[in-house]
Amino acid sequence: MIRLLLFALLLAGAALPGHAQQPAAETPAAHGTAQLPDSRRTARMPRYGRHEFRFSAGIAPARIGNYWWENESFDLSVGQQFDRTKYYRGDTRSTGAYALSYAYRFRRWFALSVGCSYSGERFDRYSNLTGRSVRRYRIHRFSLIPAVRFTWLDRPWVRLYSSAGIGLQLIGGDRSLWGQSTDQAALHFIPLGLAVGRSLFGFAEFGYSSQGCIAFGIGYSFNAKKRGS
Amino acid sequence: MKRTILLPLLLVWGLLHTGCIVEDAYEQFEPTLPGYFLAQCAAPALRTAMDELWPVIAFAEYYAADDDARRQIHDTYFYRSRIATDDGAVWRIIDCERELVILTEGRSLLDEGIGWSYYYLGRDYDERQLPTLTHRDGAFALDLHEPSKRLEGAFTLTAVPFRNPGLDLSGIRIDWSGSGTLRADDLPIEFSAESPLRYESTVGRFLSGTLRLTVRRDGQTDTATAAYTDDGRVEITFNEFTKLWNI
Repeated sequence: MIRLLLFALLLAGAALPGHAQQPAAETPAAHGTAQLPDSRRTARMPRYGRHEFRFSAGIAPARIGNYWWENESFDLSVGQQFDRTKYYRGDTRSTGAYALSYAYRFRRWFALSVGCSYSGERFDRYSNLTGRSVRRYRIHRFSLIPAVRFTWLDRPWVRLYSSAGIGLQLIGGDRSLWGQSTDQAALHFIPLGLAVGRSLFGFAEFGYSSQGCIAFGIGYSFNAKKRGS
Repeated sequence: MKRTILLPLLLVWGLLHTGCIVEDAYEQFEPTLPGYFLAQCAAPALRTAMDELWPVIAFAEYYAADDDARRQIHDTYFYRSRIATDDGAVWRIIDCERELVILTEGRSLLDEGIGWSYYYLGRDYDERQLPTLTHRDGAFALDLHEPSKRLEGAFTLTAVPFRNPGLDLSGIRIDWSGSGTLRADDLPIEFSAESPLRYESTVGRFLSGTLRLTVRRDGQTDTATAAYTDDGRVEITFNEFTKLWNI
């Protein structure tokens, strides 16, 4: 993971010196790309489509609320504490977060997106008398997050961006065991996002998000065809 | 071509590293834990009962002795305490931490058939059911009613003075057997001594003996045994499993 972070920073560092060469807003004259030097022609090419779909897998999805299991609370009576000693909690397994999102690019530097994601966890409760599992507990989290994305470095193959949004997280399963009795807000704050590729691209995001605090994925951008053209 | 290979590889790599993350549990299979829990509930209350009892037994020696012997007993067991009485029937042993009141009725506990009641000031006793100590055939019998009826039981005790060479302290060694009930909040624990429990006042804990603990809850009966060792540990047996725990 550290290597990935370093790699992303290296990429950003390599791309930053060229940032000053970002072209000005397109002018009608600029469409004559055949007469321009290669570098300017590349910079003004419509690199990415307006529509974009992404799929990502993330680790450590951001969660709001506490993580205490029912019996970790300190207000149990002695009898309940005794009952509690007859069971123990097994390892918690989490799926990670899987997200599908759609974005529309209004500008080269600005896009609005909406993403939905899923993450789940489960653990078994074992009997201290037999060592066998007596019940499995699960929680499911579905998030829907509208977000804004600012692309602050746009190179032919590399884009660096930041993204932020707030949405809704629907929680299902044995949610009371996770101390989450109601649905709640889903946060998405990504200070650093890195996309590599053109219309088909891979990306990595680092931040605090219900879609994973560290997420990797692929995306596809395209322009919708105009009718009759 | 390179792109079409690399991106799916990136995706697969990402999926492999995000799916099924295991967070280790901090609990594990511990089949004697319920028994240990019962012992941890019962033992402190019983230790406290013994800790409150031994000054009464020491005072019985004091009460029966002549003046010279009393001075020696005072220095041995009550060096930091003041012993006072107004009428010879109600005696008070006062130190910085607590005040013990013993109702002697003006007669020695070592006389046959005499019973002494006692209580500590500041604790909420039922006046009709004070702890009562009697002496018969060289042994003491304790009818114990702790404040708020939390701990109740009937015990037979033998008590001997002893000197702990390691701590260079004199104290009372009590071997007790008997049974009773400890009401720990909403969990009544029935206890009985399978083999006499030895308590030494100088160390303030049980050094040997086996305690049987039973809980009836939700139609289910659970029984554990706690065997104390002189190195400060307890061997818990519960549901056919045995483990040596530190107290």
